[in-house]
Amino acid sequence: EDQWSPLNPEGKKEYDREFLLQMQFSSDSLTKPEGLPKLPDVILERPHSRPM
Amino acid sequence: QAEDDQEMTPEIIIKHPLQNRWALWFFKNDKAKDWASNLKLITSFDTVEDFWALYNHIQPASKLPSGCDYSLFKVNIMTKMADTWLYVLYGYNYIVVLKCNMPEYIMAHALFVILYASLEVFPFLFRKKLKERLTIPQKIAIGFQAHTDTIAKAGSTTKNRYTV
Repeated sequence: EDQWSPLNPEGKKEYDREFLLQMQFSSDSLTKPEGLPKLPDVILERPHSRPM
Repeated sequence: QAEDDQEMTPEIIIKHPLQNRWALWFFKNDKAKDWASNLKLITSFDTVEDFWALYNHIQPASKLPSGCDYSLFKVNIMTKMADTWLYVLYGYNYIVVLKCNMPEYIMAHALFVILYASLEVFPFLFRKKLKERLTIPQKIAIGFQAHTDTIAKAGSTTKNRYTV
């Protein structure tokens, strides 16, 4: 297996569906990105959770 | 102690990278403004966590006001398109004329594709693909006119610089 990991930074950056879905609610994923434009119609202050 | 050790593992500290950097663009159909002003870059990301962070902090597409949508592009492609487009706006200032009746939102998407194609040296190579993509019959001509020609024109028609 040549999967990317912090110890194998040149590995393939492929992730399975389960893993990706699980990452939706990691603390980094729930932190609002910095430097977003002011678009009140679009940008939310707080993360929403919704089923995929 | 074991818990502290776990928190120090690189998996938890380093975000999971993606193969490419992606950019999310937001289009708002405001007829008072030109198409350029209606398209806004929201942000770009290249990790799984940053994707979700963005996803979690924007309205779902289904809840956007009507006439609005999102576009997601690989950054290199979008940069090329944006360059093309700025080139078009501030350089030759082409007007794209689609000689058929199309809803405006399709026009906006058509602009993207056409302007992207216009960057290429041989636009006629794109003729078939372009029209298939836009579901425009092959017999309908898409003309590129220079804005400078349109301003300077004496008659009611402006000559196409080229046609695909």
